[in-house]
Formats: sequence, structure tokens, C-alpha cells
Amino acid sequence: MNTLKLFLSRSVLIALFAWSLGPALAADKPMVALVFKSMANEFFQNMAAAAKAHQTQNANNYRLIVSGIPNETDTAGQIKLIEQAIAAKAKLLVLAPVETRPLIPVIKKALASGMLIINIDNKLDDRALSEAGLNIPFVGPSNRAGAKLVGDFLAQKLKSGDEVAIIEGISTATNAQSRTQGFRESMEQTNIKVVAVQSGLWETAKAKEVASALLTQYPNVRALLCGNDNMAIGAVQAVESGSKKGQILVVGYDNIPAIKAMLKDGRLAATADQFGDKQAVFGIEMGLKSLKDHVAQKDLQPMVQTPVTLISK
Amino acid sequence: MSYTNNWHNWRAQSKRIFFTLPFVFVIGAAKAVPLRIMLEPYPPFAYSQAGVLRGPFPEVFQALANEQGLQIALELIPSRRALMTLEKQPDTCLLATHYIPAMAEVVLYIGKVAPLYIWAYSRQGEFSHVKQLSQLRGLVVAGIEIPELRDATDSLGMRYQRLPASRLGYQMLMAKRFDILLSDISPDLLAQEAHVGITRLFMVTQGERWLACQRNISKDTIDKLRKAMKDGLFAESSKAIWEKYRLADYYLHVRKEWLTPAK
Repeated sequence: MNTLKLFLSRSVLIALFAWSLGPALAADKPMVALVFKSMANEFFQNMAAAAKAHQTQNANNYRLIVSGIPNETDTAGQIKLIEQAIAAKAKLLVLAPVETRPLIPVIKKALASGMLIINIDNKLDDRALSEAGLNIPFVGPSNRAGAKLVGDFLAQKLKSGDEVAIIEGISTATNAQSRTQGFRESMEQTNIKVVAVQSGLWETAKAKEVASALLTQYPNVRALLCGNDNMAIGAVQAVESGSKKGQILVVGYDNIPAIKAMLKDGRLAATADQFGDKQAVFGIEMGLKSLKDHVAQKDLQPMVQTPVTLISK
Repeated sequence: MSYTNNWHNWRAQSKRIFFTLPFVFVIGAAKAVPLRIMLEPYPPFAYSQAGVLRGPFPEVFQALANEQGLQIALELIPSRRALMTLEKQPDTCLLATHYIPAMAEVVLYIGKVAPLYIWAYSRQGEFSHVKQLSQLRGLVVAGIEIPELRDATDSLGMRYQRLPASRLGYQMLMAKRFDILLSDISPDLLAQEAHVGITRLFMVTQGERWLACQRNISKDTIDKLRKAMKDGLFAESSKAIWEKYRLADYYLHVRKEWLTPAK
């Protein structure tokens, strides 16, 4: 009986000790802030899900806050999210930026707070980083190479002299420009004419509007090359609601779940998978390792390239 | 499943590279392999004379790199080939290249080295009424293949004939191959080479030329290159080289107009 009492009292003491230590241990775990672009985009939803799953598996190593903006162009909203990460005393920011120059002041503020920053998805513009004297590593693929894979696949279905149009993302974004460049290179190599490049702002509704206008303005267009799958969905909708249903090829980029059925029935010819979910996780892992090893922001390896592959079925 | 395997293979390879690179750098340092610096022919700033690389760009870069203790090997090479090499070959840089967003994800843009002013030119006395890009519609236009120019023309839905190298543009303009040339070298600078009879119509856009390096270059080398290029190729210590090439006026103009505001 005495032994049982002793055991229970010791157990209570240990539990109390552990309970009192709990918050301190939690506070010791670094807070990671993952800041995305549009949370309406399945691509970022997948990234967020993968990051949360990674945190659950590594709950003893870090805490995670995930946030994003309602649409692809809300720069002010993204600045607020970074401010919130600073206020929450995050130690690591993994950022998929909307654009570069307007974010530079808040990035500087985040770095001054002692935070490490890793850039994923859309590379921050080197010109602005160089002017600001910042080293922000980029973990991601060559969007140009990915778009070229898609473009080369499409070119096999076209013939020399055919006309195509490109619907790109936000024209100032590095990944939008890179994808457009990849598409262009494929088309130029096979002597296919790019008659127009217009922005669909990464979004379905805008891309549908742009695609409809392009098909009217350029009636000989044989294909629409879209900088992401959301815009490709808009382009498919425009084709289906017009008089050229089944005659226009559409390609996208990202391989989001929403386009699986379109790929299967041929409404979408191809897309590229750049393993977005893994990108966020790798950004987090790189950042956590750097925190653990006390590597300063300026000493981080500036670029880590990740894979990208063609999806045509 | 194959994607997952690809990813795991890639990660395993990355880890190997991550842990192997420091040893590679140590071995590299021991051998003191010079950093390969490529640049495209860009007279009067970089050119070959009797097989010897000449011009203020290579000479100034050599001097500034040496100040930082960097050993370099300069080489004149066409820009397309240089870009392909840069993407794949370690310890390689490209001097005075354009900023290409699509390349920014695979190479490192270290710093600005020189300004880039793109002008519209015509043959003397022709099209003098043209003062802006939109007025070029209906004319036969050719230009150098650079993103800044493509962005400016794309936004207006304009198309132009792409020239592989800016140095060919003036001859082709004078040979009446097209009406308007969009290019980045001022004929003032080329006057000494008898490129007369050309009129500068208006400035189309402006940007910068950059030093870009292969992405796995060591952090120590990046730091040294950044220090060397603090004032681009127009550092105070380089004045004598610019004077030697009779480009002192241009050097002073750039220091005043381009370098000073950037500081």
C-alpha cells in the first residue's frame, strides 16, 4: 500500500513537473511561418497540407503557422502576413512571394528581427535583392525548363507555321516570365508563331476572359499555352463556350487535382508537375537545419534546384 | 510512384552534393583553378584584336578581381553558347550579360556591372517624326534579343525582327534591311568606327548588364565578386583603363548618371 502511495505521489510530481515544463519546451521549438500566395489555388492548398503533415510528424522539432492571401495579386495582404509572422516571433519564414520590390522593406524588417528567410515557388527578383544587398535562397525548379517540356510536347501536335497564344501569370513575376520563355523557346524551335502574350493574372475567371478575346482576335490560333492550371481551366471554359470546341489545344502548368479529368478526356493536352508540396517541405527542412547549425542568412547557399516533370495523361 | 522515386533520388543526390561540396571546394582551392569568366563580343567595350581580348570591360574586371585575390581566366564567347555553358559548368561566370528572368532560377545574378540604354535608331534624315515606340507600327523594325526590349514591345503587341548580336545591327540598318534599329550601343561611341549616318530617335527602355555565375559557385567567391563589382566596371581605380581606350567621357558620364544614384 505504501509502495502504491509512493508510486502515485511520485507520478503526480513527475506529471506536475512535465506540465510546468510543457510551455517552456513549446517555446523552445522554433516557430516556422509559411506564407503563400492565393489559398484559393489548389497548388498552394496542397503545399499547405504537405507542410502540416510534415509538422505533425516533427511536432517535437518546430511549430508551424500557415497563411495565404485570398487572391494572387494581394501584395498588401502578403505584407500583413509577414508582419504577423514577425509579431509571432517566428524564427523561419518560408515565402512564396507575390512579387519582389514591394516586399523588400518587410523582408528587411523580418531579417532584422532575427528570422531566416527561404524563398519558394516564385523566385524573388535578383535585381531588387542585389540593390537591397540581400541573400534570400531560392528552393525551387526551373520554370523555364518545365514550360519547355510542356511546350515541346504540344509542338509535336502542331505543325510549322501554326499560330498559338500564351496566357501568362502576373507579368512581373519571375516564374511567369520563365514559363513564358520556356513556351516561347519550344515554339520558336519548331517555327510555330506566338501571335500574342497576355496576362491572365494566374486566375481562372481572368484567363477565361482573356482566352475568349484572344480566340476572337486571332481566329487562326491553334493552341493556348497557359502559365498555370487555374488559367488553363479558364481557357478550356472559353474554348468550350465558343465555336471552336475540340479544335483548340490547351496546356497548363502545376498538375493540380482539378485538371485530372481534363487531362484524361483530352480537353487539356499537358501540364508540368513541379512537386509543389515537396518544395514547401524542403524549404522548411533547409531552414530548420540552418537554424540548428546557426548559419547566418548571408551565408545560406543561394539556390537549391528541385525537379519538374511533364504530365500528359 | 515514379515521381516519388524521382524526388527521393533527387534528395539523396542533393544530400550527397551538400556533403561533398565542401571537400570539392577545398580540393579546388588547393589546385587554384581560375574562375572562368566569359563575355560576349561587345565593341568598343570588349573585342578581339589579333586574337587578343581587349576593351575596358575585360581589363577592368581583371584588375578588380585581382584586387580581391581572385584568379580568373577571361574568354570571348557568343552569348547563346555562354548562357548554355553557364547553366551547366561549375566555376563559370558570364560578364556583362542581360538580366533574363528565365535564367534567374538556374544561375546567380551577382551584381550590376554596367548600364544598358536601348535606343531607336534610323538612317540619317529618315523617320525623324518618330518619337515613341507605338509610332513604329507599320515600319520594318529589328532589334537585339534582350528581355527588356521584348517586354516593352510585347506590352504594345508589337513584333520585331530579332538580331543575334547588336554589333551587326548598324551595318544591316545602313544596308536598308529594315527601317528602324532598336539597339543598346550608342553610335556616339562607335563614331570612331565610321558608323556615321545614323540618327538616334528616342530611348526605348533602360536596364543593366550583370555578372552572372553558375549556381553552385562557392559563397566565398560570391562575396569577393560582389565586393569587386561594388561600383560595377566603373570603380574609381579603373579610370586609367577607360582613359587608355579613349572612353573617359563615357566612364565619367556613367559614374555620374548611373552609379551615383545607385549608391
